[in-house]
Amino acid sequence: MTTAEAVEQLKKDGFGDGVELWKGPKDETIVVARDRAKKLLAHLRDGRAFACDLLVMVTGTHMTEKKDAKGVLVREAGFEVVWHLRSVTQHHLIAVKCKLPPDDPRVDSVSDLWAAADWHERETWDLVGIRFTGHPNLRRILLPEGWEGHPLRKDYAYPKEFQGINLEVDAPWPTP
Amino acid sequence: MGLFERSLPDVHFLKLADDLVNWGRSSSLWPMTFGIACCAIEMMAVGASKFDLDRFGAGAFRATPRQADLMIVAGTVNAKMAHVVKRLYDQMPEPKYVMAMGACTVGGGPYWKYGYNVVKGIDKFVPVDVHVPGCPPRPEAIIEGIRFLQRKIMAKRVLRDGAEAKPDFTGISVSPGTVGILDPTVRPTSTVYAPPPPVVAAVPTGGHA
Amino acid sequence: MAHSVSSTVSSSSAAPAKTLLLPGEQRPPDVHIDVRTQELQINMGPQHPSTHGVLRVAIWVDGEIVTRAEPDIGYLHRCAEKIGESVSCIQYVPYTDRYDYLAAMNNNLGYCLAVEKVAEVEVPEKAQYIRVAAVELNRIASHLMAVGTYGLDLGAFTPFFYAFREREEILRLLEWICGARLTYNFIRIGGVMRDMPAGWVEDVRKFLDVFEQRLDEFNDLLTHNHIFVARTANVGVISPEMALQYGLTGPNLRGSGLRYDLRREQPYLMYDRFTFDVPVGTGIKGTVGDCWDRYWVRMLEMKESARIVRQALDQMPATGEIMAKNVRHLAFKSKAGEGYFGIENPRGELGYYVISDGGANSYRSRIRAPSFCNLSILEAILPGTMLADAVAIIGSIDIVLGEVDR
Repeated sequence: MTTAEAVEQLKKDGFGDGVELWKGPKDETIVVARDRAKKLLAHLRDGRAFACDLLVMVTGTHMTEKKDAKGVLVREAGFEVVWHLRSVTQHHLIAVKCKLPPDDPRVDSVSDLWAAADWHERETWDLVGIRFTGHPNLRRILLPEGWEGHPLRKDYAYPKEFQGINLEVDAPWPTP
Repeated sequence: MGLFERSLPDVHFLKLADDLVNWGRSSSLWPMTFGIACCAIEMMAVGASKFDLDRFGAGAFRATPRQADLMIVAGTVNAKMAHVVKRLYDQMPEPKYVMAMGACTVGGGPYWKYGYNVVKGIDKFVPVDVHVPGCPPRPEAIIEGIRFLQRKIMAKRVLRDGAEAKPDFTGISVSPGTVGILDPTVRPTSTVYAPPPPVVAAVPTGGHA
Repeated sequence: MAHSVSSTVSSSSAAPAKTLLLPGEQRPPDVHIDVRTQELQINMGPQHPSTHGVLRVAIWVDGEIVTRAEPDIGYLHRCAEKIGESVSCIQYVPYTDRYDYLAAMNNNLGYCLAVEKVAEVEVPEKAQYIRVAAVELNRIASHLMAVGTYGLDLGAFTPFFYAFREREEILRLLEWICGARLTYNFIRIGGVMRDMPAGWVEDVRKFLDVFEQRLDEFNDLLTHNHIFVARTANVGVISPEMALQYGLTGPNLRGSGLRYDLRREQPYLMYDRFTFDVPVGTGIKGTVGDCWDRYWVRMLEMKESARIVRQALDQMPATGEIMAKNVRHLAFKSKAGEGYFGIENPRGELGYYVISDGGANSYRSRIRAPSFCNLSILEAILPGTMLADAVAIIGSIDIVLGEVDR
């Protein structure tokens, strides 16, 4: 089913409020409010019409405010989490999106619904800094323990060194 | 390498002995299997049958650093991996050589500008004997790097001088376009690369002496 | 931490048929020894000949049985997604080669398809056929590497050289068409880099003619070998439900019996015009979903890829454009929007999620790496196996650390 049909089905199943369809471009996405996200995702997994048994990935993005030439707000500041779900039996791909405020990026973890979410959420916490409440083991996965900062934020400053290792760009030779 | 405390006169016999020692060392380099990233695949290809590194004597890849004398660092080294590379280098027994294979180990490679946790060149923390540029270097380039290292080893004066000396040749670069060879006598020292502290045995007090 | 486990060992069980007793001697009495074992934590990697890259698995063993395993990744994290935001879309294509460096054409393809979806670029037909040929040849090369190194992990040295002989031939063909052996940067946004040189198609056909016999040779060496079967059958069984829970895709999912292939589900490029089978594991040698099944799925997929390349070369139009008209490479600007595109990598579903705000750079390009998801199943599947089986299981999942860490 397409995402538009999915939203219609969700409205019939009683998930109408807090859920709306974002028509793109390019991909149609279901937008959900933060406190209803987990219930919606559980229904997408268990509902017979959806049967989304494969979690493809969890993406986190740090959004900065952007206004176009006329001064109209094109992009709000904050964070965005997108879950892509696939159904092996129903042969569809559904994207669900949730916007988070800039000072409090928290959302419920879905690692008890799909075990694949465990590592994806750890990576999102590591690189973007979005905290997933209810995750059993939320710590850094790609960057070493002790790394400071979340690199995929737009205001990230590159470090000059880490625990004695020189990471500077165009650094001079160490003098003997 | 310190076999004789003072340097002996440069007699022909010692040159022949040096040549013998160097020939043995250069013709049986045992690399350590230390593939990190994409360059590791080309290292495997150079060990496979089409490009056959074994005919140069360097075919016995050892998995453990204790039995290897050449560490081919093949792939990008990042902040998490750098400590591991240094520890493996320290675990290798002397004489040991390091080949920086691929652009990432030479100077950061494609990640030199925007890689926040990529170390821009492994010579920031281990002394490198030969740099082989390329992304990834062709197997023929790796063989050229091994041959360069072999010529460098043949030029060493192990028995004649007590310490590491300058080789007899200069100015040979591995591929056209590189700046030139590293001066092998200067080992870059940084705060990271410091030799391990000496083992101080506990001295029993009183009684024996 | 040390965890004491005590077990008793008795020195003799039932009396053996032949005992080393002199006539008139009595059997010695049974001796019970109280052996206290401790759980030992050992490190597999990051420098290890069998971990296919810099993977560290912290394993807690009790004797030979693994009680707990924790993969530790990040030793090859190369800031991929940050670079995706810092350089332009056109400049990013060579970086995509380096994640799954064994199937670099597929990586290029995934990114280009995602950007072409968002920027609404139409790729000409001949370029699509060339893309299919390049991608499927790369799939064969990647699977050859996977099965060759799998044999190497388990101690079989000879099949590795046989696999590399075929792989060198494919690499020669790919180098002929694009100039590089491993990181191609051939599939660009809007089409491919250059047209096929004269004589390339004939050489590919010649290679495909001998490839099937060489695969049978490889089968004789490795696939039905007693030792190989003993080490891989009934080892590391992954049920389909567990595979879906952990996000497994590709030959790992198909080895567990689920016939799910993105080339069939959402045909991209020209895959709906080719006939090919999708092999699944059926538990011939052991249980459905064991290591042997995953290995066998890869072997069968190589044959299918050879079929697809033949069909692509037959159906390719003789003349045609190889690059879309509206892509201006020096000043490429995507359209504002976001899109996800998933393709079938040799390791699973490779997806690129590109958010663009209309500039030359993408605002966010997130990579869904199949090996990242495939690797998370190790925590669940290794406990209870023997330590030697851990090597067999990690090899059968076929991970590439460049993709796991990006």
